[in-house]
Amino acid sequence: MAETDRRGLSIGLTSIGYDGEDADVLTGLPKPRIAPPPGTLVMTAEMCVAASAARLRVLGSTGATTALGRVLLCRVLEQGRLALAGPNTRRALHDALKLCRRHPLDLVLVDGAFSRIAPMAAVDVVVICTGPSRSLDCGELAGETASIAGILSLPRCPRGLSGPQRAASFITPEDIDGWAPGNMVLCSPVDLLAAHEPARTWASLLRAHSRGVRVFVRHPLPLAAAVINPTYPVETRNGGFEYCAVDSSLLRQSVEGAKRPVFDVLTDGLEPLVDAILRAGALMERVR
Amino acid sequence: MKPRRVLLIPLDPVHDVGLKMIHRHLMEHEHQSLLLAPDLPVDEIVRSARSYAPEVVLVSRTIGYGAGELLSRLIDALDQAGVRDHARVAVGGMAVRRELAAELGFDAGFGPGTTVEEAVAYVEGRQADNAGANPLRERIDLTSGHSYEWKHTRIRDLAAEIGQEALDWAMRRTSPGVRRAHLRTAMLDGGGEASQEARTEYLKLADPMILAGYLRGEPAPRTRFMTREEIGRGAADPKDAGSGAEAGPAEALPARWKKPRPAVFIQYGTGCPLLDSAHIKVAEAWGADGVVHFDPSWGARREGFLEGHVTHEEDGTVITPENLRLISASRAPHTLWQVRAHRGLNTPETVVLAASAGADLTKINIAYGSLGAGTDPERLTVDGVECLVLAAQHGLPYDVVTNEELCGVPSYKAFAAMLTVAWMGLYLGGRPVLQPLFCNSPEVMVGQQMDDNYVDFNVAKVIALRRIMDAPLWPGAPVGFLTHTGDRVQSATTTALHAALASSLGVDGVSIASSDEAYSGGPISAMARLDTLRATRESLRFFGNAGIAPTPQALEWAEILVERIEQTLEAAALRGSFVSSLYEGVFGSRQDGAYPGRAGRGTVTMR
Repeated sequence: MAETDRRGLSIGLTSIGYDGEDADVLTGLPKPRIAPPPGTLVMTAEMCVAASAARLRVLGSTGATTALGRVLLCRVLEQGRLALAGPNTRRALHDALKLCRRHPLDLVLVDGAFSRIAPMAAVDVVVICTGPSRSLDCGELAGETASIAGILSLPRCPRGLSGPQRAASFITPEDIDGWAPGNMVLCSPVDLLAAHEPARTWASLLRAHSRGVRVFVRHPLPLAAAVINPTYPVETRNGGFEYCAVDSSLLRQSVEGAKRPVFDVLTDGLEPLVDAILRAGALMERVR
Repeated sequence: MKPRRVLLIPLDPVHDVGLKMIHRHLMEHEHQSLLLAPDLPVDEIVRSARSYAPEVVLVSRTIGYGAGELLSRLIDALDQAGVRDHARVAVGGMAVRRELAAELGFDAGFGPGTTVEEAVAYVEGRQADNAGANPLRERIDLTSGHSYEWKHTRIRDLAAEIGQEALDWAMRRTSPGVRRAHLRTAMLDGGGEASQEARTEYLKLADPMILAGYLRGEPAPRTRFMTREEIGRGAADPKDAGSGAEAGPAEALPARWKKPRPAVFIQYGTGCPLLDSAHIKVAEAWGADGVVHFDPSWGARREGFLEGHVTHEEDGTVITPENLRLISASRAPHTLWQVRAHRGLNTPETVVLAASAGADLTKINIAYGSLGAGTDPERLTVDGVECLVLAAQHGLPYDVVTNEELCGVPSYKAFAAMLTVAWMGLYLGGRPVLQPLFCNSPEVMVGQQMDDNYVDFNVAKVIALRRIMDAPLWPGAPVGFLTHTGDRVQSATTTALHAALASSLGVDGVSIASSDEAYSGGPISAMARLDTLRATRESLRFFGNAGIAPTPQALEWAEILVERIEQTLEAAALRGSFVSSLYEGVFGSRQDGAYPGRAGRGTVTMR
C-alpha cells in the first residue's frame, strides 16, 4: 500500500480471512497493522467498521456476511488502524469485486487467509508468499512453489475447442490419474489447488499430460510473483510462539525459477513487486 | 418457524456430544437434521454435503491440534463443491472465537459455553432467547427482603440507649464538614447567585491545598488536571481497546451462579478516572455486580474537595464531582456503585457528591473511621450522624464496616459499635447493611480461631449477627483479607473460597479483591481482577445451592460473640457517652490496636 500510494494509484482492499488484529489468532504473534491511506476503498465486516480507528464512510453493503457481521464497502476518509474481514466464499468475493469495479480503481488487493484458496478463483492475478513458516525444507518449498506456479500457468480454454470434458470443481490427484486422453476443461486453477496438495497434483498433471490429456481453464489465474518471507514462528518452551528467520538469499535461490520472479520485499523493496503485479494485471485486462 | 435442512459435521474422533444435543433438539422441533459420524475424511464429508444439499452446516471441532488446517481444508472443499452457494456454515468448539471463525472463513463461530438454544437460534436465523439482557444482570437491592427486626431485645435496647445519646449529642453540634456538605448541595443546584455565594462560603472552610486548586488552578501534589482531549476521548472508548472486534468473554455472565445474591463487588481506584472506567468495564464483563470507589487517604485529611477532572499519580482516585460523574457514566445499567464516606474530614460532603453522581451505596462507620482511620472521634460522630441523615434523605443505603478488626479490635467490640451505628441509621430512616469482615484478623491470629479452617469463625460472625437482627449482610472488605500471599493462584483461590462461603451463608453482598491487591501495595492490574472473578465464578458454580458445612465450633463462638457484644454495649451504656466510649476504648482500646484519630480535632462547635 505504501508503494501504490507513492505512485498515486487508487486501490481497493479486503481479506478472505481476518487481518489487522494485534496478534495472530492462532499463534498470538503480532500481525501487521493495516492502516490504509485516505481514499482507499475497503471491504470489511460491520464489527471491524465499528472498532475501526480509521474514519470510514460506508458506501453500502456488499451482500456478503462473515462471523463478524455483514461485509460493508467503505471509503477511508482519515487514516487509522483497522481490521479486515471480507467476503469469504468464491461467490461472495466475485459479487463483491463486481461491486468494486463500479469505482475507478487501479488495483484491488485481496489478502489471503490461513490455509484457504477457494475464494481466490474470483481474482485476476495471484501473488504467493512462501517461506520457512510453511516448511523448513527449502527443497520442499521450491518443489511446492514450482507446482503451484505450474498449476497457475494452465492455459485459457480456446474458443471452439473440440470435444472437451468438464472437470468437477474439487479435484484430487487421484481424480487426475483417472482422466482419459483428450481435452479437459476446468473452471479455474483453484479447482486443482483446493485439495491442498499442489506437489502431488502437479505430478499427476504432468503424468496426465504425457498420457495425452490437455488441460485448459475457463478462467486463468496467472501468478504475478512469488514473495519470500524468511521468518517463521517457533513454539517456545512455555507454549507461546516467537519469530526466527532463515537466510533470505538461500531461500530465494531455491524458490526462483524461469519466468517466475521472486521478491524479498525487505531486500528488493516494493517497486519490482508492484511492477510485476501491475504488469500481470494489465495482461489480464487485455485478454478479458 | 420454517423447517430447515441442517447438516451436522463432528470433526473430532469422539467429541460429538454437542452436535448430538443439537441434533436431538432440531429433530424435536421438526427440522431435518443429518448428523454425520465423527472423524470422517474431508472428501466423504463433502460428498454427503453435496448430496444432502443442506441450508445450514454446523461443524464442531474440540481438539486443538491440527484444527486450523482441517477446518480450512473443509471450508475450501465445501466452497469448491458449491455447498457454500446455498448454505451458511458455522463452526463451534473449545478454541473457537468469532475472530478465529472469520479467519477460517466460516459464517459464524460459537465458542465454549454456547448453549443448544444459541445454536438452534442460528439455524433458525434469529437471535437466541438468552442473548441480550441476562435475567441475572439486574441491579440488585441489597436491602430487600430484610425486615430490620431486632431479635435480641436487650442488645436492641442498649444500642438504642447509646445511639439516642449519640444522636442528641451530635445534633447539637456542627463542623466544617457538615457546613461544607450543605454548601456543596447549594453549589450543585445550579449556577445561580445562591450557588455562587455558597461557593464563596465553601472556600472559607477549605484547606489551603484545596483552596489553591480553586483560586489558582494549582493541582494538588502528585495530581494534575486532565486535558480536554483526554476527557473527550471518553471512558471505555472501544477503539482504544485495539482493532479487534470485541472485548470480554462471549457470555458476560455474573460471577454468581444462578443465585440472585450475593452481589459480587470489586474495588477500583487506579488514580485515573479513565483507567478506572476501563477497569470497571473489564470487571463487568467478567462478572462483577458492583464496584467500589477507592480514593487516596490524603483526600480524607484535607477539608474540602477539589473540582475538575483530576488524575493522581498514585493509588486512589481523587473524589471530585467531575471524576465521579465520568466514572458513573461508564457503568453498565446493572452495575452497583459505592462511594465511601467512612472516614476523614469530608464524609457528609461525600454522601452529597455520591448521591449527585448517581451512586447506589455509600459506606458509613463512625467507630472504624475514628479508631482505625485517623479521624477525631468527636468530629466523626458529628459528621457521621450528618452522613446518616443525608444518606436517608437521598435514599442511599450504606454498609457499616468493621475494618477496625484489622487493627486488632476484637470482633465483638467492632460489632457492638456497628450495631449502634446501625440503630442510629435506622432511627434516622436509613437502610444500613452490616459489613462483618471475613479475615484472618489479629484477633484470630492471637486467639487461633482460624488454625484449623477459615470457615467456623466467619460463620460464627454471621450467625451471631443474624441472632441479633434481620439485616442485610455484606462481608468484606475484601473477604479473605490477610489470607492472601503473593502467589497468584493461592490468592485467587482463597478469595474464591471465601466468596463461596459468603454465598453458602446466603448473604446479600461480598467484596472480593484482585489477586495482587492484598499484597501488592500498589497498582492493581486488570489481569489480577480476572483471576479472582474467574476463580469466584468457578467456585460459586461448584457449590451452586449446595453449601459449606461448619463444625459445631461455629455455633459455640457465635454464642460467645453475642454475649460479648451485649457486654460491650453494657459498658458503653454505663459510660453514658458514645463519643467518650470511643475515646476511652470501649469499642476498641489502644491495647487492642485502636487509636482515636486526630484529624479534625477541635473543629466541632455548637450549633
